[in-house]
Amino acid sequence: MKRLLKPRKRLLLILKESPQREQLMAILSGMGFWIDYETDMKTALEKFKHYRHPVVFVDEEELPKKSARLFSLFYKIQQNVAVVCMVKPERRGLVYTYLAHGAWDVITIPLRTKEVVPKVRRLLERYELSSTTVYFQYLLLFSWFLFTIWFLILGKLI
Amino acid sequence: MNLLNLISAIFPLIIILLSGVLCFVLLQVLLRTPIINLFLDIPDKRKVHQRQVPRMGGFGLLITVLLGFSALLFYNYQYFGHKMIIVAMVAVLVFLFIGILDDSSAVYYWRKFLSERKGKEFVDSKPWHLRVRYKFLLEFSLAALVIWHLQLTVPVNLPFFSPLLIKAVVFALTTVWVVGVANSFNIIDGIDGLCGGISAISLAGLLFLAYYFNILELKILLPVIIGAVLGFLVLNSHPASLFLGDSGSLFIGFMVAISGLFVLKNIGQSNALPLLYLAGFPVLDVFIAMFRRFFVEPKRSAKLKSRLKQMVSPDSNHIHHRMLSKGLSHLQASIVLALFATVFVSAGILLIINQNIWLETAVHLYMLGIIFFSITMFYFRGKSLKMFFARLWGTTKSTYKVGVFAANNCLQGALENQGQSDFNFSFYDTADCANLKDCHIDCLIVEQIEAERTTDFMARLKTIFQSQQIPSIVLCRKVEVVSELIGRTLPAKTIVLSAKPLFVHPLLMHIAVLVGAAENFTTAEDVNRRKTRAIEVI
Repeated sequence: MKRLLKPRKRLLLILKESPQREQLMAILSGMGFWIDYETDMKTALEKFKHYRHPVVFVDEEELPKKSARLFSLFYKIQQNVAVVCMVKPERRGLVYTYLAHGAWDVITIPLRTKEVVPKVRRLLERYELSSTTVYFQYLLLFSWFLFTIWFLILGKLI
Repeated sequence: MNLLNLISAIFPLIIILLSGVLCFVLLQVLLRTPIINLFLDIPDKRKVHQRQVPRMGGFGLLITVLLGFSALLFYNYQYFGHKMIIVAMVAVLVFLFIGILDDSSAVYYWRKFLSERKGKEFVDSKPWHLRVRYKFLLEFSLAALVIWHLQLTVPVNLPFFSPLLIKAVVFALTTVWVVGVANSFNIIDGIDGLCGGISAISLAGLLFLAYYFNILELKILLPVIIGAVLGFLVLNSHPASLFLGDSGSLFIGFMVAISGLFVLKNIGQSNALPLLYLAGFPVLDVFIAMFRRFFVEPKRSAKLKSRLKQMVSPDSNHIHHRMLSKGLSHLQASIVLALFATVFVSAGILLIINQNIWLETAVHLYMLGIIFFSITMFYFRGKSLKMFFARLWGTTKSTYKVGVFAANNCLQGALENQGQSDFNFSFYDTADCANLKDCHIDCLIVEQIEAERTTDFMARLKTIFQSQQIPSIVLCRKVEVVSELIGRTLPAKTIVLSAKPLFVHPLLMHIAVLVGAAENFTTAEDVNRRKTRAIEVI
């Protein structure tokens, strides 16, 4: 029962343009992900706050002027999220700006399955790895604290 | 005789097992009945669950505890003589009442049924729940009654007051403490398995003390509650089939507070601080949340009234929310925080069983250190402590000077924005190649200019590398140039990258490796953190 209840990994798309969205959704749902798509940044942030997606795809046309502020909001909600910007070929020059403002990666439109699939896999691996690293760091640290106190308790009991 | 000893030794384990199985079976039965529709918890902005989950865990837990206590009284009627057991049964009934009113929508449907029976239109659109003020009134009344009946007090020394005033103050303090702990357990019930796990640890610590000091009442009561909590925990582990609800978490918190006070009363301890440790993590979380909402989050100009209002208004920035925002799953966050709670409970046990003043002081200092360190880890991003201490002891340079040759505007802007906190970038023209020696730079980035021919670029590189051998990164416009450069003999510590497309955070990582500061950039996530900090600077 619990296995059935276990949710699939969710990814968030913030895209208006429907052919691109359909294409990306087809690629990602084919990889076994649950796709949430939003056209409005505000509702997308609400959704992100609720589901904490590991990867977020944002169309650069949807980005506000102060894109850095938006990216920092994403990172504030989920520290190791990867925000991927989708950029059209004629606006390639903005890649550096988006990266400087905090985007994790950039993919170019038209989408190529060969590019998207390994990229998403790599980003998810990174997400899993970083959260597992944090988890084990905490475990190790608190175990150390605990053993020092138990050592004193055992000293008293023995 | 040996068999009797064995049975008495494993008696609490048997009770825990029986109670756990009973709770699990009862909850499974309840989950298969239509009653769950009355207890559905609907997800909203602040809640982290994603579908409707019945919050009837507390209801099942309280019924199990009630059945367990009744069975114990049936097993030995002499237990009726113990005030604590009667008090616990009364508490179960009161919280069961709160649960029916608050966790379920029973009252709402009852009113709807009555109005429909009278032929009137029912106007309420939202399910009815018990108001906070009435809930607090019930909790305070119960706590005051129990404290008065059991003669429990928080051990506090007030030397300059009259005995009557001291009694009144201590009574009020004890009541506030009991209600506060009960509510703090309710507040931390935010993710799957957290409240159950932490309360099981606190109760287990109290059971250990009960056996250590031979306190009969707690030896009987606590195994029943622990078993019920563990039985519930099986169904509450992520993804949860049901939640504890207010009644369950309030009852557990109430029993932890009362049992702690009861232990102190029985052993005649005059120090109240171990109580803080035994209640542990939930109390710390509430203190931090209140401090944060009063001092840190409001604007500087905020008035006292608005600060006080904000202090008690709920938010999504508790420690367990912070753990989730670090990418931990519900299960991982629950395990880490349960371990954290175990540290607190163990410290409480140590302080109670070992009343040496020096050890006490050492444990308090140690725990203060742990609390400070943990808060830093949970709440602050940016500089890691390792980096902080490395800079404090002067083992790393505060900034590294990086020279960038012929950078276009995009690269210049990106580097200035992103790497400014760790590297000091200086930008040079192609003509500055000869004066490189006087610049005292730690790393060099040479970029091929847009219109520059490959042969010219090679010649420029040759001039640069002839004048000085510095760790360098070469950014080429064309892939052919990259392969050609890799084929040549380049100076040591030189990295060749394609500038199209170029990502800034890998570039920063390469710079860190070249200048020997890679230990400060241990993971890609670390680079990401710096990136976030750079954004904050903007």
